[in-house]
Amino acid sequence: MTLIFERDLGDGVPVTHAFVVGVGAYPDAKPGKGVNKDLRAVPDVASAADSAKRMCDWLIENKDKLGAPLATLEVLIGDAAHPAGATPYAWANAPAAAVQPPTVENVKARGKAWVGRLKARPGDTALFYGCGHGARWGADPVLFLQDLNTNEDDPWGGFFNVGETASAFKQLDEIRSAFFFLDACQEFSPKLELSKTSWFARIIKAQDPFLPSREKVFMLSATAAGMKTYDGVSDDVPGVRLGRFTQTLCTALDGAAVRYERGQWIVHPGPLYQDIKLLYGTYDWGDGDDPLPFDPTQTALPNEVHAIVRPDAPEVPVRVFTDPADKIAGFDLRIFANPNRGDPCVRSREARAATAWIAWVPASKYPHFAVADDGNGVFHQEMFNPDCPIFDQRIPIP
Amino acid sequence: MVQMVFVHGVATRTSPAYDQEEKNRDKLFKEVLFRGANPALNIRAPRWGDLVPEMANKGASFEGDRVGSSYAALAPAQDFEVQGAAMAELTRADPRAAIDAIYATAVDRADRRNEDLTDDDIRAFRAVVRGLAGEAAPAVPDSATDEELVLNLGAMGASGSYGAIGDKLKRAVAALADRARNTVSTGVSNAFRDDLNPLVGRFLGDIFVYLKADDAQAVGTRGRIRERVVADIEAAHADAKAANDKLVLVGHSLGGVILYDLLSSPAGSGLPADLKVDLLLTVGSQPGFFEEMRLFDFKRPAGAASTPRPASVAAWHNVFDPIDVFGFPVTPMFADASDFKFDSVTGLLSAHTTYFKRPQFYARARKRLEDLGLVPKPQ
Repeated sequence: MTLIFERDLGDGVPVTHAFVVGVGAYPDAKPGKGVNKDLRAVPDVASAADSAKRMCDWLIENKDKLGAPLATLEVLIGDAAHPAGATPYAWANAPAAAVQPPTVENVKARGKAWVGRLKARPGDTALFYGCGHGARWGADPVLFLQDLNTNEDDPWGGFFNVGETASAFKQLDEIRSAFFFLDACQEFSPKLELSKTSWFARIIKAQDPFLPSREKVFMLSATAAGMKTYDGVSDDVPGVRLGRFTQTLCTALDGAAVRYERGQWIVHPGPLYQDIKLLYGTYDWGDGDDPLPFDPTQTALPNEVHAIVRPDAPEVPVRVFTDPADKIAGFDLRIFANPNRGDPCVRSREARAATAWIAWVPASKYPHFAVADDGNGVFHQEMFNPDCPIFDQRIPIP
Repeated sequence: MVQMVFVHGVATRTSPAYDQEEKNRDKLFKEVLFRGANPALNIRAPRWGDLVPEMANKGASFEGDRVGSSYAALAPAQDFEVQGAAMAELTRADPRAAIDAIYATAVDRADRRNEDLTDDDIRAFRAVVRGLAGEAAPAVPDSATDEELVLNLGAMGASGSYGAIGDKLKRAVAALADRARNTVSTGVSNAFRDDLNPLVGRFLGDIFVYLKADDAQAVGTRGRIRERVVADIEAAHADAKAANDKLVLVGHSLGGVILYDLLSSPAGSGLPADLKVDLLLTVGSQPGFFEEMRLFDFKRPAGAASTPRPASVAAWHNVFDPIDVFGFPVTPMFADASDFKFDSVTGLLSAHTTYFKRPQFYARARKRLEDLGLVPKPQ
């Protein structure tokens, strides 16, 4: 099966049609297999399949909070064996039957079905999420599919050109907006670049430079050109490894990247690009003194504000430290919603430490106060508004 | 900050190729060997090789060093097909040496192609150095073929990455395996043999130039070499003293000899009287051999079994590869110094010229730096 979620919300309700592709296994890109010797050292990445399942669960759990409620969810996932010690992700909303693998033909067929739904009437929203090995092809981020290295005439062609598809959606007149998320590397390979490939999974006619395009597409990929992206142990599910970009994205969409727009809390594309970069730093990825890079890249940005999601009761991270920073260990830290510090505090850290404090504070458009308390009646405080994530909230210490 | 003076070895002259090699070596020193030093490493690297006179007949005496010109304007791109099991076999027998050789080849290839090491390269190199730091052999899954070895090494370097088409390791494995296939020897380790003739000649040439006390000029080549090295040591010492930094001197090959020669006779060398060196690191060097030959100005006390470490040096570690014909131990010739050696499967020439491209060097040297408190120990 591929359509794991479907509901009819009636003719008058704009909806979201989502398409999720997770590629964990590359069975023909292994030693002694496949048609091209250059593609025989591609490891499986079980976490990419798990990340896709996690995103499916997130979409279903938030089906009514999306900018336009979720109507359909089309899914292709290729599982791989998990490395020793890794725990497979357990679907919270498991489909009734096994989902089909992300081959070129399946992506073409199911992708065209997805586009067909989006064309059926005006005003709906598209959402794509992909995870697996990836690369840059020209200026386009691409996602390698399960049958990479199987086509004798076109071994490199087993990919889905996500960048080209996102550009083409600018000319998909019927849609109101489109959101593309890609958790994959953006390595550059001269051999891929020079391959005259034509077999890849195209689901929509490429953008025509002679026709008008509307800037209504948002595309955020996990990393910049030439860079890699990585998985990491999940904060939420012990032992499970998921894409770091995917984990950070889910946290951002859950409300960490909210803004107050037109009387409501929404997460929208504008600030997401920068928020997600800084949110990554709030995780302990276990890298020690050798942190892996995280360099998300926005390759398309809409010129209107459309909500991706409207989270309930969002909380934003506020990273608090003293100025000068080396004084922080001498203070209890608290956040109050009142300058008089009389009310119960919103959050506090009384275990003194030499590191900055990341407090998760209910989003609010009203002033809050970060307070450093030395325990002997001396307070230093600074006002801030927790109406967005804050990564550099100083408390000046004279 | 740590102030370092790096004194290069024999047969080193300024060239674009050496500029690239120095750039990549500095990056490995800063981001692997001294990673975490508070807050950084400042490297001075005096180039004394340019002071050695040009060869009168441009090296015509190196019989084996004559290379014909090619009429091919555009050489065909090399095809690095990974096949066979030579490196997989070697990795099973000696994973430490095999990994060392593969990564050294990858760095060497970057140098030769005038390529900077990327952040990904450095990260993979650091991961391998961590793997080599323990007593136990690094855990590389058994690989039946060289293709599988590439896959397994890639996973070792950057676990959990969503990128898989990089080919630096593939090319390094292919290049080493190709040399193994082309050898007439029966053992894989013997495959890494190089033509030593030119290096031996240049080695002897530079040694003679340095040891020659003087020439017709007021300050001979030996004097100018010493002046150039002393100038950088003085500057590094002044910076270290002003900022309470550590001072590390690294000498490769004849560079180690020059450093010992200066440090053991500070009065005559012009070094500062209050010079304090936190670490002297000699690599693939000959102070031990020269001391046995009584070639230094400083003479050990009569009847002493060994020569004392220079007074200004707090610690002296000497690195050598037993296969390196130009690398010698310093014990028991010197007291209060220590040797560490590691075996490689590289060739005789490569053993002398690739210390600073090999993960084993960084793994072992880093351990010494940690013990001396120059870099933090792993958490």
